[in-house]
Amino acid sequence: MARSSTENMITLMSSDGEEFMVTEKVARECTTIRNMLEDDCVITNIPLPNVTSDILSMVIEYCMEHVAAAEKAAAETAEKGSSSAPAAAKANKDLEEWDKAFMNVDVYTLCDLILAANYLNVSGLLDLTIQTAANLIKGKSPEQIRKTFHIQNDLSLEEEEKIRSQTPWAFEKSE
Amino acid sequence: MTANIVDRFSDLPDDVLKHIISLLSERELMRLSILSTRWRKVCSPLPCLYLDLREYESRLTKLEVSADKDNFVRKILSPCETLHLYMFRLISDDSHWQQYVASSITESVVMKFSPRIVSIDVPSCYSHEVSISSIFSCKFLEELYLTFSDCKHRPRKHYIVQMPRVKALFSLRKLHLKNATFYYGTICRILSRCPEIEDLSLKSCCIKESWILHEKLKFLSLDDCSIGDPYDKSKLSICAPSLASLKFASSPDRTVLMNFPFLSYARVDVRKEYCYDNIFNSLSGIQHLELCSSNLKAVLDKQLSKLPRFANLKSLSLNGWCMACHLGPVVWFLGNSTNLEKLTLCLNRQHCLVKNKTKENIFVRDHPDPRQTEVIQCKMLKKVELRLSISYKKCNGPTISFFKKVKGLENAQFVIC
Repeated sequence: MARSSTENMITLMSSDGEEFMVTEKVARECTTIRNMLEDDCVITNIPLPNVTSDILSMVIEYCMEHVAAAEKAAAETAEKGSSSAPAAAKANKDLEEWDKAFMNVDVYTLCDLILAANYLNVSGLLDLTIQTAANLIKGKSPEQIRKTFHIQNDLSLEEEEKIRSQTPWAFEKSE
Repeated sequence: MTANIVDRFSDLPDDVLKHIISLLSERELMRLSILSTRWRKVCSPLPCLYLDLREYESRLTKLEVSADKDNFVRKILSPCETLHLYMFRLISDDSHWQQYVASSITESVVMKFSPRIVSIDVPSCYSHEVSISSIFSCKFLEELYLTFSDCKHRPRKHYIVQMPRVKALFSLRKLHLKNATFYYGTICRILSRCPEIEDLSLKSCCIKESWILHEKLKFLSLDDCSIGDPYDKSKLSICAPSLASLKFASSPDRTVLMNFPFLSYARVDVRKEYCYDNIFNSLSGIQHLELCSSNLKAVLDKQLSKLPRFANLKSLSLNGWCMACHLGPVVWFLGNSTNLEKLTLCLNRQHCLVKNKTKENIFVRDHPDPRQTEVIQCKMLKKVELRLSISYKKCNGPTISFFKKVKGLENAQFVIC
């Protein structure tokens, strides 16, 4: 695939009015933006009223990292003719590590990232954030889950007792 | 602060939450479903059949012939026809009709719907053996909980588990039984047909059996079980090479523990009347040990000289009996487990009373005995946790001052909760 040396730059505008200049390739990681670009190719300024600047900058960081990793892998394949399995595995592992570090955020930020990834339709980021949220739930008691996500319990005591007594094994303490 | 606490998580759109839920196990879903009304809606309840026949008692006695009862069963089961039943829970007491209905429902459910989880709570005089043994032929069974509760009318303590005609239960992972009696060979037979079982728990059971033998068993709990026949001296040997966790509160003199290379956690309920040598010898490689005793003066301090050294022990938890024995066991463990990192003492009011009876400050006066503290060499001990019940808090002074006097504990962190 031939790449033009001067890539199109696109400006993304967050809900609080901050502007982010990114290459078209990075912006295309977001399926929502890619669809906009394909509908109307002269567009260069995209307002994103649902995403705040700090979350948008994180989304862009994620996209840039993943675009760079993909480019690096593609370049290596082109150089050697064929990709070497150990190198590819190492690159994958590095990216996984990066993802893991990237997910070291508080619960609020995680929720915002899930919303943004869902709205911008960044499938990789959506999978990553959702898996992170699921991991936060795994192995916790209902009380711990409520505490982690600040969930208000609006069930009455009787209702809760009823559900618990019907399925007591679900609430046994795990080892 | 409270103003900041907003539940952003529950505000996520439904499809996102459903996506998260799809990554969780059914058991976790059950836990989520009691978080709040929002989560109850999102985690649409799994197909479960929960029947407490005691609620139907008056209706059942009104139905006169057994044909009516069969009709009743059919009516109850009809909504399940279209579901892929995930779990089935049934409770019945010992009235004649409840038992009859319980048996016919159980048989129909396991035959027709093969649920993954079955939990049956019937009286121990339950007379419909066939329905209990039919559960053991339930193909996709993953977890089975059988509780035989007390009878109101005919006193009978245990339900005798007959040798069920067990088909191979390839997916059974958990088996919990309460108030059951097993004659020779029954447990062996059941275990041999469950290749994947990991968790076996027997509570208040009567085990006339010579072996518990399984390659993959990871969790074993024998709680308040009577082992062997009172008339002969038969013993129960436990051989489970994959065992990781053992909870033991039964007679130790009738139990032989085989070598457990992967065992890392054990909880032993120490009782006065027994000798625990062979149990502790099998546990000498353990990393996490919990010793509790309901008798105040467990005689373990008299047995201390026979105990093995716990060279790998990392965490140890003792409840109040160690105080009643003048802290002897604590001193012994501190001296003999060189790798101990965490020590937990759970003390409650009873032990406080004992202390008062035996006059003030017994620990401080008697301990640390200078000769004993010299042998304490827990360089690794980082945390000492004292769990005190509220009424005990007043008299924790002596305990703390004991630990302050112990040499080599300067770096340990004390937590009182």
